[in-house]
Amino acid sequence: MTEGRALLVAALLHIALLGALSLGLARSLQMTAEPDVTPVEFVDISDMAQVTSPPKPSMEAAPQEPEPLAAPEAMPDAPPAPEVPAPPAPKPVKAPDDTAAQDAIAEAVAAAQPKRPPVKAPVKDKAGQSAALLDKSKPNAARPRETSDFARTIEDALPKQSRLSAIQAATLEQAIRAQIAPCWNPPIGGADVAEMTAVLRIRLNRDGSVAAPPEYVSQTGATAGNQAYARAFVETAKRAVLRCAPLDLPADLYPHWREFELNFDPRLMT
Amino acid sequence: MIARLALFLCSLTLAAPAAAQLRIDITSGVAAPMPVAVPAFPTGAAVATPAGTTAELGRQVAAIIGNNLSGTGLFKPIDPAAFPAPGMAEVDAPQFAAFRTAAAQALVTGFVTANANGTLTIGCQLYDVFSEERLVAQGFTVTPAGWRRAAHKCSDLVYSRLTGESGYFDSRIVYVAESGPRTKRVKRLAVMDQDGANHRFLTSGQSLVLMPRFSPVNETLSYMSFAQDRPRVWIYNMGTGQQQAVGEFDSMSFAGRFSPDGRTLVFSVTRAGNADIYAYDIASRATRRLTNGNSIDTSPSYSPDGRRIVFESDRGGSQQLYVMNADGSGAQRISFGDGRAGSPVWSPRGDLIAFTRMQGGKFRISVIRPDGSGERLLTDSWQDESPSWAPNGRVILFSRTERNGRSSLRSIDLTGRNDRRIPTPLEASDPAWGPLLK
Repeated sequence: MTEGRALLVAALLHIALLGALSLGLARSLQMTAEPDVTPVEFVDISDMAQVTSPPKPSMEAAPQEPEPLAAPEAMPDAPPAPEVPAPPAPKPVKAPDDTAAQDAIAEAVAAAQPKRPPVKAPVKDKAGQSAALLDKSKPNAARPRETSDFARTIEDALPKQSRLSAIQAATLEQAIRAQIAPCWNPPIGGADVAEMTAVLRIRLNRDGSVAAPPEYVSQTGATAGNQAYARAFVETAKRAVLRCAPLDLPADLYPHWREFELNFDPRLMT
Repeated sequence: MIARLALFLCSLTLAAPAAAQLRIDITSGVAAPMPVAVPAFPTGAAVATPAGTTAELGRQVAAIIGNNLSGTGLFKPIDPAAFPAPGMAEVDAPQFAAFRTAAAQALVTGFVTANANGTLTIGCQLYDVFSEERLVAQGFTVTPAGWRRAAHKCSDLVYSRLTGESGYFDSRIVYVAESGPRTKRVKRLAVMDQDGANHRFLTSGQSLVLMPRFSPVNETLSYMSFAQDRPRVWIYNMGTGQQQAVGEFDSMSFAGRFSPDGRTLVFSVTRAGNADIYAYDIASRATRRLTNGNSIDTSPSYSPDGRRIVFESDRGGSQQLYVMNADGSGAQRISFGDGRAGSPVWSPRGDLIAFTRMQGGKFRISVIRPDGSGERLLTDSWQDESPSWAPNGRVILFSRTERNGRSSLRSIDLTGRNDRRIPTPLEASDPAWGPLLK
């Protein structure tokens, strides 16, 4: 009896402790949750190996003239005008710190674009992953033949319904494209943006809703001079996905649209 | 062993869908204006200021931002009746669901507070309504008289964050205001904010004035005046009101324009039916001749790096555009095709030159790359001329004359969309867009 009461008390205390900790944690999270002003996650350069097509030789790759908008400089003896002092913002906001990362990406795109077709591991097994790692670290290294052979063998051994027929794939692609494109409002008319594209990874729930925020994968056409534009471009792509969700897609093919990539490329628009 | 193999195959089956990942190209979208919510900026307590109560200012700041964004043609402010007006607490924690319901994609909000020293602080925050992220936030402290500039600064912040291009709202326009009958036209210099507010005249109208141009770096203008019956180029400081004649020429000088660093003025001087281009160092007042020959060389405009100059010349038989080095060497013709080309002006972002294309009895605004490729006509009216770039190189200001002789200022987006009238109290011509204010 006393043992039972002791257990009960202990259980209640544990629940109370858990509750207190959760509440405290929630509060501290709220207090420290600084709004993130750099919503574009720029991934490591090694992921650039996923870009499907190397940029064509173009002016973007050539040495650029200084960014024209930066040219006019303040003359120190400018007459006093009704000045708007720019005081520290009432809510200090973290400065966008993605510049370096994107510079690196831009350089990687311009200078070290691997000229080989993308390697698509038919099966993402451990062997395939290690092959992908090999490929990324040494773009020119020959791919171990036995690895892909092994992967193909494994793929052949898979149950039929886990692979998508060509017709199913085309239907699914069309359904996704038809739902995303009307929601995409890309910025147009910017300078030096002819080659800009962005790839996002999309994860969906069974009901077609977004399971996770669209994830930045890669981008082409970003240069040192168009960082702000490159960021805005990726945001329009993310917004398109969030606006269109939930997507209406065939339920029986869910394993194939649970996760996929979208390559936003506005070439046909202007 | 068999069990382990079975487990291995089982895990492969589960992993398979991720490996056969779809990659889909989205090659088209829509070019519709982005719906944006700009509710009245709240205030903690309505305080009376010389510019009105802070509550009233909060409404007007939001209206100015909405008007600026709408004027770009890239954004569509949503009717504020479609969502509840946020209070101070919601500036930092907006009710995103309500704005999504109103079909907004972005939310511009902020606050107006009166400070003890008589200044105002106007906060400005931009949210992505779908990702629920705060994209940018800034505060501006202004005198009550300068509150409109805070609204323009906030507009620039929002525009640049959403488009990736720099803004152009906190800037001014100088132009020639015209009044009176055709035979006795009065032309005065006038300056106003880019949205038409704070309009004022700079000259009395006693002398004919033409071709005003802003210095890219300070509060200085150049213009041509017929004062003292000597048509020539003047430099006018709007801060001090002082002006000086440019160079000592016994004949007409005209078409002045500043270099990107504001230190040099280029213009034309006529002699016996021939016009040549000169560069004038404003500090030393030294003059240097850049073109020679019997042709009419005029309308010079620097590239933003200051290394080249585009100008118009009839040296090839008809009025066309040429690009030369800033020292006058290496002139190359860049405009071809039907008709004539004149009044070129180099974009501040460097990628294009805007000019007036004259063909088939029409004057139209056109753009061309500095190497002469990619000419694109932007307008199609009877008489559009005198292009001038917005400070971000995205929008072109120009003057339009209707067949009834009435002239007005207009702007058009580089894409050829959004041809809009800029409101002026009188008829207007020869506009020049100034730099972003400091």
